[in-house]
Amino acid sequence: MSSDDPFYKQTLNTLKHNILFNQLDQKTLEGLLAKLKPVQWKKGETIDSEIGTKYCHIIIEGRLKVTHIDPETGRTVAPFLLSEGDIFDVFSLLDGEEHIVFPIAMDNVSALYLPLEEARQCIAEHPEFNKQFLPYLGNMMRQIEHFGISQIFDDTITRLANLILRHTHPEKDPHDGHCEVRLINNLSHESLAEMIGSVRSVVSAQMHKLKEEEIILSKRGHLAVKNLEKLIQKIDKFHCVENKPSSL
Amino acid sequence: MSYKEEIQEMVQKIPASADPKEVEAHVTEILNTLYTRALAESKKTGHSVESITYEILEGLEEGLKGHDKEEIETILHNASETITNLIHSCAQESIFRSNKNLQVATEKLKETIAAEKAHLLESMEAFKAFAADHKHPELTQKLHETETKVKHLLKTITDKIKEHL
Amino acid sequence: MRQGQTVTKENSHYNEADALLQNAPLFRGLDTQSREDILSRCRIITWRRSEEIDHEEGMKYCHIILKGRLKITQIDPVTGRSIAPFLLAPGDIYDVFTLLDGKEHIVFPIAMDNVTALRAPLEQAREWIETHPKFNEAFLPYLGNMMRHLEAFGESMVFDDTATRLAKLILKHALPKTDESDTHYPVKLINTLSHESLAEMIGSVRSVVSTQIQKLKKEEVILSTRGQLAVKNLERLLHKIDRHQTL
Repeated sequence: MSSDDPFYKQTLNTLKHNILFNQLDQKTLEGLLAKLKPVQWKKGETIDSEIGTKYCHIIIEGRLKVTHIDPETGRTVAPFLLSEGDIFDVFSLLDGEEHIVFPIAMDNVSALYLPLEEARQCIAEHPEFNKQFLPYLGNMMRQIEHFGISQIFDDTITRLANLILRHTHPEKDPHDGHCEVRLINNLSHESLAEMIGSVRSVVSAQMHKLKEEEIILSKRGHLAVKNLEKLIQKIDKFHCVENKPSSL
Repeated sequence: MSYKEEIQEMVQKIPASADPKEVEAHVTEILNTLYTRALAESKKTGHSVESITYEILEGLEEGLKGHDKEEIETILHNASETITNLIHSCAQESIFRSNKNLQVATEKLKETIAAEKAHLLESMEAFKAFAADHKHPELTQKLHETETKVKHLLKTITDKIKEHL
Repeated sequence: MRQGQTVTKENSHYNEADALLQNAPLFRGLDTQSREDILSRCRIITWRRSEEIDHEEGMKYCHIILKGRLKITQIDPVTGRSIAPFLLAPGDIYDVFTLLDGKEHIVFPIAMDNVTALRAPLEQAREWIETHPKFNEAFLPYLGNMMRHLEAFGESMVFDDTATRLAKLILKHALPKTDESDTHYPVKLINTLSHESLAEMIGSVRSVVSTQIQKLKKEEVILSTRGQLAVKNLERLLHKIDRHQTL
């Protein structure tokens, strides 16, 4: 992106505040931005799976659902929902090998990209990037590890509750006591099912139950948490919670 | 040291010229210690009984080099008998412990069910006593409804585990 | 060898430790000076076979495994059920998660064999990585490999039945024949594991895995040789995973 570009200043600022790049000095950031090209994907667009093997993308705005498809059944899972500040595709960035996934733009997505080899070269030339990159990788690894383990240890309701909780902002709205849900608040039940390795019908039933139990609610078409303590109890069965008056 | 190396080293110490009965006794003693330990460790390390048994037999055979061929065959056969007995013995102990845990857990479950039922009944007593002491005749009357509800709740208290009872 | 003995050029274990370190793909590309630097920060420790390691060790220290295998188990606190997505072998680091982000990783490592490892305080390990950017060349692909393994594990839980997961596990650890005339393909790392352990590695239970193993043996896909698991028919094993592959 050249410094004449109308979005240059804004993009540079976004990078500066990005947790992955905020430790880099101005000169390095500007150097990086000079190598990056902008790209836009429309909401609903399925991105060519080869893209992650050829280029490294930094998401500036919007969400990218990274889907895996079972070639036998056509079933899909999406352990990662990438958003602002995330890199796609980290797997290929780490080892240069192809990673067969099917990314879908959940919104209009803006991203910056450069050829994968150049990205790997950048990392090699700027070891200070490691300081933020390694913890970022650690977080990704924990996420993917948790995805696998929860398939065995947790039933669907626990996995769903966990997913919602992970994306819930703990601060309650002073007016109604509700908690905001971020990133996944307008996703379909299909998408939520993909993120927890379940199927739409089961997730729909579970969401309905959570609504009935007044744990979650729809707020202007978006998911929000009504009762945070009860949501936590769905995950941690030993957590004590005050009871509402019985309707019996 | 691997089990194979361990048993080989121990068995090699038995002189080839020793009386066959004495050799037999030594080998049995070695197996009693080593194989039992290997079996216990395999529960943690996750090695299969097949692999540790094979390894130990190989080590035993190596350790017996120099002994008479016929004697080796006899010892190996007796070793397999000893090992079978050891596995059986360990199995019995393991099953016994597991069963004991089951009994303890079952007792605990029964006690939990009884205690929780008692809590419901206690609260009923408290309601009645309160109504009488504080002279609330209407409350006393309405507590009949609550009593009916408590009876129903007592029946459904184990609903969540019904299929496992 | 004393527990926690420092690794200096003066003691006899230095050469052995250095040789083992050179063997590890992760450290193979390093020059002598860099390896010396690692060794100087480390102590040699050993864990006895079946020893259960306190997970807090992973919080304080970074370990490089030189000899033996470490099973990394996760336990469901409610049911006590355990799974083991990882088996760490010589050349592997424990615990990578904590090394990356300094946060706790609650796992239950068990020494499957007598294990020898190099141990350095976590902060020193992280500092070493920072001051040896060339290490990234091997470290990042190593992390990529771990991530792919974890991803495949998770995906497999959703997409594949136990038979497929088991076949994939065996295939992953199958080695080429040592000699063309051999009747089987050796299997590394998991060849001596019990059915319980194999079940832990694929998130299943012993009874199901036992049935599957018997089936694979009956179909002459796998066999037991010298008490250890080996593959008899690689193509048929592949077919269990990819049913569209023609035999």
